Amino acid sequence: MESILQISDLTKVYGFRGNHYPALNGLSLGVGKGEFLGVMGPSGSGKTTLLNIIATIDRGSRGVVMINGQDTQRMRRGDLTRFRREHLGFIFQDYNLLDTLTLRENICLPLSIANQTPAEIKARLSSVTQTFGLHDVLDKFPAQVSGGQKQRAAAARAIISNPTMVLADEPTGALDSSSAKVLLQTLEKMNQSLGITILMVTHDATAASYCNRIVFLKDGRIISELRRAAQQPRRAFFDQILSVVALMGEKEAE
Amino acid sequence: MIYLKLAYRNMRRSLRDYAIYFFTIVLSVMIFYSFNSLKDQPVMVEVCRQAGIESNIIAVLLGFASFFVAFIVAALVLYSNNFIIRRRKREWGTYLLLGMNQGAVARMLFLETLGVGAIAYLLGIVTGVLFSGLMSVLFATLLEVAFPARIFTFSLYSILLTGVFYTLIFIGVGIMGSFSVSRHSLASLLVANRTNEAYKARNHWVTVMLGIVSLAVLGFGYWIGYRAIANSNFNPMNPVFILVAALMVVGSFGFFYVGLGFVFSILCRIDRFRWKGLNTFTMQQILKKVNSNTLVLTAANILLAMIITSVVFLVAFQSLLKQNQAGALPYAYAVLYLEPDDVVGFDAVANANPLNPLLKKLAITRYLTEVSSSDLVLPQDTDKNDSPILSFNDSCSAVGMSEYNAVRQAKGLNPVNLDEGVIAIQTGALSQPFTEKIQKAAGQGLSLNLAGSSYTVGQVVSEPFVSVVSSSMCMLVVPDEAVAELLPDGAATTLMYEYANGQDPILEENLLNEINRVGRGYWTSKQEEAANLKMIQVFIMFPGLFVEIILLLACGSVLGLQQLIETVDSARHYQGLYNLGAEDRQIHRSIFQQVTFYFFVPVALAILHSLVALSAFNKLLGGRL
Ligand SMILES: Nc1ncnc2c1ncn2[C@@H]1O[C@H](COP(=O)(O)OP(=O)(O)OP(=O)(O)O)[C@@H](O)[C@H]1O
Ligand SMILES: [Mg+2]
Repeated sequence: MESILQISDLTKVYGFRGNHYPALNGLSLGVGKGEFLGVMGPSGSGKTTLLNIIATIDRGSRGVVMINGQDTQRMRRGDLTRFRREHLGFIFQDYNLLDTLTLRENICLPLSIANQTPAEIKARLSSVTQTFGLHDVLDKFPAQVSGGQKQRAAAARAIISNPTMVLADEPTGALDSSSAKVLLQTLEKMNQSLGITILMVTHDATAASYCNRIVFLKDGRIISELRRAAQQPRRAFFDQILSVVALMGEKEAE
Repeated sequence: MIYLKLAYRNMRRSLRDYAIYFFTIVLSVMIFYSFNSLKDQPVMVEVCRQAGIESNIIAVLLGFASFFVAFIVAALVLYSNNFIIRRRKREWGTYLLLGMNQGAVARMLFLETLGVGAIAYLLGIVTGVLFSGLMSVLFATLLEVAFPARIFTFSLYSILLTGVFYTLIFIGVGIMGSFSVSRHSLASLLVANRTNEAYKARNHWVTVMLGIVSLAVLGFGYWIGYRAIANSNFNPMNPVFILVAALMVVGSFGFFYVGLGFVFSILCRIDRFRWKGLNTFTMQQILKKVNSNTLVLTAANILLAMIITSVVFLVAFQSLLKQNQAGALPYAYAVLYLEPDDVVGFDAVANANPLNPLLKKLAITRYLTEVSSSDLVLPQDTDKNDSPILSFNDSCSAVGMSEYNAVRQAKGLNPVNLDEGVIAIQTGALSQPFTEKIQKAAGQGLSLNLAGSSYTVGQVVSEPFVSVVSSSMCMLVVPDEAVAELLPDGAATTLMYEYANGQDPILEENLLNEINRVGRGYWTSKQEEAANLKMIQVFIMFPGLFVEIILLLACGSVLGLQQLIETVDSARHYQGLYNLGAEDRQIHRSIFQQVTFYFFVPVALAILHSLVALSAFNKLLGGRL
């Protein structure tokens, strides 16, 4: 499988002067094109830190992060912005929609920022609204729609620019279980039919069971990995995840 | 002690928030102090002394404005206080979580506010003294008043007043803050930073309708205002100006509240504009700010319009007056309001002077007529709202042609020649529309009745005559034989003297003695006229401009503060935009556009208001502004 993200020996140290705290500790990870990767791990294990570095919002202290063959650790701020715009899409836990803009305007924002033509924007918009079923709420403001709709709008915004990879940090964290299910099914569909690579941080085993590979983080390192076998039912994968999580919990207790 | 350490750390982290809070208070104290110290300003005291007016009257005149200032200043303090409360709710939640009781948190907050307030108060007084001193210098220069010896002054009255006022506000603010700590649940305090206000969306068609209505109101206000100033004799007391003011306020308010939304919703129809960079975001951001600050924006806009109008008017009017004044008094000295019999005595005094051979003199007497101002214009042109100085019920006085021409000649002007049965009308220089009405009536064969004979109007002269101050009076110039039939208008004789080689202080003194002896007469001279005029202007303009500028400063600081707070509060949004791939350049441009637009719109609207007002005044003064 063609590799899209290659991380080797990534270390991130917070703090200064004798007061070091390594949030990531020599982490290596490869992600192939079209994968739906889940990142799990206890609180404080470095999941958000890892995601932020991949997202080029933060930088590592040591190590290499290659996305689509480009080393993001060595890029300048201006190039990073362009890179982010062209290759990455984001879904945040708290949606991060702008409350003064309608969902339509929010979703199209990455394209207008990239100065696409109105015709292109319209075409892209109609394709993503179809995927996410947002037709009826496009002209509403974030305050006027439900949390699930907000998060789907955020997801639509994340893929509207046809990114190489979508990064999601606990996208279902603020949703009730049925809205979470709708969102996860849409992400799954995005991944399967559009072939978009997705990297999702989650605490929730149900959410993780939609992925096709899961890495488990602890103390800034990958300590375990699960791959969903071809044709494996989601229910079985879910049980497998639960047992790994339980195992990690036991180790913790020792 | 852990609390103290915590408080210190939190304080350091929110240093920027505190700086905003602190400087807002300093600014508001400065505004309040400057306003209330106006009557103690050396320039003002000097002006009042020269005008022979008690300077305390200023305080009375500014009664209404002082309420406004107090209101704005209180709003400023409350607003910045709310800001600090909002930013620190999280922190208080933490204290409560750590087991500090609510009373203690509230007390801490209260002491903190009081401490910051006390320091800000002292700094505010100092900057207030500096600011009002500089304003005085500015005005002294602008109005050409002699500089007072002292520029800066500590007004004890205002220092105390400010102290009392702020103590009251701070007690109010402290109580409010403590309430807001104890009223909120712990949970709501802890998540305070994350909740953002719900954004109200408006119905598109309602916006369009209200936008059109507000523009119509504004246009209607312009129209009535223009007519009230330009089309009749301008009367500042005309009640129609209250209506105009109300229309301007309502119209401007409407413009800010919906008009801008209307314009933006049209811009949003243009796809090329809407989907370009951060345009939509920037527009909505501006709209949100403008909508939530409509009142302050309206006040700032109206004040700005008043300031622009008065400054332009002042500067133009001053040069206009100078021109007119030069031609008003032909000779250096004049005595007005004498009985015809007094002339002999004054002439004797003047002749007794050693420089006698060089003496030039003129005498002019006004006579009573039955003609009133309203007879001079067509019936449909009379306006009941005309100036009281120029009431249409006033009867016009008459002067003989030869006396009148002598004065004109002394000023170097051509004499007015009247045929049999023809008279001329002299109007003041400062009411062009009124003059035009008389000209119109004269053109249609106006005839007037004087002592039983009928006369037509041959000529209308619009110029200041003898005294600028009373130059708006209108006067009939009649053939000498007609004067013989009329009665002198009480004490209506004016004498004018001058020596061919210039002024003479002895003559001045002797004339004044003679006035005292007869117990009648009003003394004036070229110098006196100039000084009088200046006093009038200074007295009208100085407090007015001073107050307007302070009020504008107050509004400006409310707007500036809100901008600052808004930018700090929406830092999260800008981070979000950056994450979405917006370049720093784009984000900076958007912020810049928001700020400039936010200030540009009220300024542009204010300029429009002033242009309308000034063009009306220009019409009033016959295009001489
Ligand atoms: N800006 C920072 N400065 C210092 N330490 C930090 C910073 N951000 C994170 N850390 C530390 O790095 C470690 C990893 O943090 P990270 O946010 O990546 O954890 P996480 O796995 O996302 O946790 P959670 O599941 O709770 O979100 C934590 O111990 C955290 O305290
Ligand atoms: Mg996290």
